[in-house]
Amino acid sequence: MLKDITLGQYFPGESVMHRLDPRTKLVALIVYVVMLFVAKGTASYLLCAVCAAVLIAMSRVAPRLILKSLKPVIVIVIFTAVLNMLYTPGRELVSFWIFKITAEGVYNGVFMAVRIIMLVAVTSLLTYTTSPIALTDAIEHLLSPLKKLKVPVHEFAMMMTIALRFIPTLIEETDKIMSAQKARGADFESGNLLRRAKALIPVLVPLFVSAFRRADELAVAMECRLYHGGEGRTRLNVLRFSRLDAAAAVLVICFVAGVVLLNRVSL
Amino acid sequence: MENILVVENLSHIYSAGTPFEKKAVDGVSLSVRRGEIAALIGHTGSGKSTLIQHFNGLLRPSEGRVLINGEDIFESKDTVRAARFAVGLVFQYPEYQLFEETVYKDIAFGPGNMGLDSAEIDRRVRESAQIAGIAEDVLEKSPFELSGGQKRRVALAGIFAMEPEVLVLDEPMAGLDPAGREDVFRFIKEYKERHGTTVIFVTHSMEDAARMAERLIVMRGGSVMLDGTPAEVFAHAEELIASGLDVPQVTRVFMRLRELGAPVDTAVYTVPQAAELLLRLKGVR
Ligand SMILES: Nc1ncnc2c1ncn2[C@@H]1O[C@H](COP(=O)(O)OP(=O)(O)OP(=O)(O)O)[C@@H](O)[C@H]1O
Ligand SMILES: [Mg+2]
Repeated sequence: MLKDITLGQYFPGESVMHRLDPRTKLVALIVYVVMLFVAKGTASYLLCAVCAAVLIAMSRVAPRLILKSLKPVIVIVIFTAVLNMLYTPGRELVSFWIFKITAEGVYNGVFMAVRIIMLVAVTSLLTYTTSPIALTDAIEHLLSPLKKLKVPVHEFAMMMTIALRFIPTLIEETDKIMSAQKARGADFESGNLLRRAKALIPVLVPLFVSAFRRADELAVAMECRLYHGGEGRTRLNVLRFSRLDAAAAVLVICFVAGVVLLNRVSL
Repeated sequence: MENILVVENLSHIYSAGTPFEKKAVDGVSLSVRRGEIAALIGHTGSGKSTLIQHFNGLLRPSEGRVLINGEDIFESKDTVRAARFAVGLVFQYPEYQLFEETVYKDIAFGPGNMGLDSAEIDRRVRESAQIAGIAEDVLEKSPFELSGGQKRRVALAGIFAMEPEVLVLDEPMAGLDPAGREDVFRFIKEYKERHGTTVIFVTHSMEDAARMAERLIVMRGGSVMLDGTPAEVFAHAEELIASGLDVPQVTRVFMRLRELGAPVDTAVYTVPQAAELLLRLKGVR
């Protein structure tokens, strides 16, 4: 049912990847993505792919889950690959009707596909191994220099945390209300678009009522605990860099150097 | 009496195939006779809510079957829909599902979905409102203006108005004060007497179960641990306590009496029963 849509899709675990500081992971991901676009040639791509494979193995996340995360982008991957194949000028391999496939096109198409696949796989690895709350924390930290420019970074992070926190709750609630209305004979599956939209009213009204009730309760609870924004606020779980993060930083630098060096090797 | 609801070797697995896989119901078989009133009891997480959502086809069994009047409810789309109307399911905290502008319209939602004509809907709404103790003038109010207890009555009336053959209630008395609990108890009894409905209700309170039901079904870890009349079930009082469940206070008194050497049985669960037993015991001496 609705619950099977995993948003934020965090899978708790104890692996090295889970234990890394979320800031390290976030920065490393950004570096990795940049390097994916810097990489040229088979050798550097191989290095990127090997890195992705090693990271996935280290995270102990089932490869099946990584494949599942690729499902939504498969259309984009195929589309990009085909376009590249058809529209890259160069040495002709086959041609039919108005299309011609060139060797360069095949080469480009394959690389584009590999690039997108690795991008999505490694990004989802981050969300699989980092709880959404830790991730927002990391974003808040990394963006905190903007506070000097009077950007309300803390408030944005708090809003994001609350939103993330309540997504599963609201999904569960929607599920419950839908079941309850189905038990009263509501039918969400048949009829034309208008009928289906109307069928949602018995779900949406109680859902909004309860969302507002929850928001109200949460606001009162926060006020009772004297919440007044980010100023002078300390944290329960302070983010700390460990030796693990230092090791990760070294590996990231090695990786960057590796890609840059391999880019010069022509294969 | 024939069996109206039969559950055959039913299992339910949530989130099958993910790391969150959870077998919530494990090989449950039950048959419920027409007109019976049964209580489903068990610890938090023992699979009660999951089990009852199979009775009207809201959940599909991972294994096993559910039969209503001898027919498998998942035979086709139509049988599922028929099951929705044959089995009225009242969820826990049903007051959060009200949505219409007026109480009247909200109660009429279920019967309306059944495709009844407006005269019949009107009759059912008024009758079930009356059974659930909702005054005439409340019918035109918005359900959001009512108190929690009143909303609960409206939600109950909403299911009563569908006149199901089997009424299934998930903790109908949760979160109410003693007077409110007593009321809900009375409405269900009254509705059952008028329509001869079969009633299955989930509860955490052994007292309520013992008082109301003629049959107790005790669940533990997704399967049925004990199933029988209250006397049969409370005869296993020690087992119930060992698995973390409560027994009625009078049963506890009798367990203690037996420990002290009195020749009594622990299959006692109401105060009048207890009084009679004690008097008999004294008379014998
Ligand atoms: N939608 C769901 N998705 C995944 N797991 C669930 C879902 N609903 C329930 N569970 C799990 O299934 C088990 C049985 O839950 P269920 O709600 O049936 O218990 P219960 O006996 O009704 O408990 P309670 O007395 O607290 O209402 C629990 O371990 C619960 O965590
Ligand atoms: Mg429950």
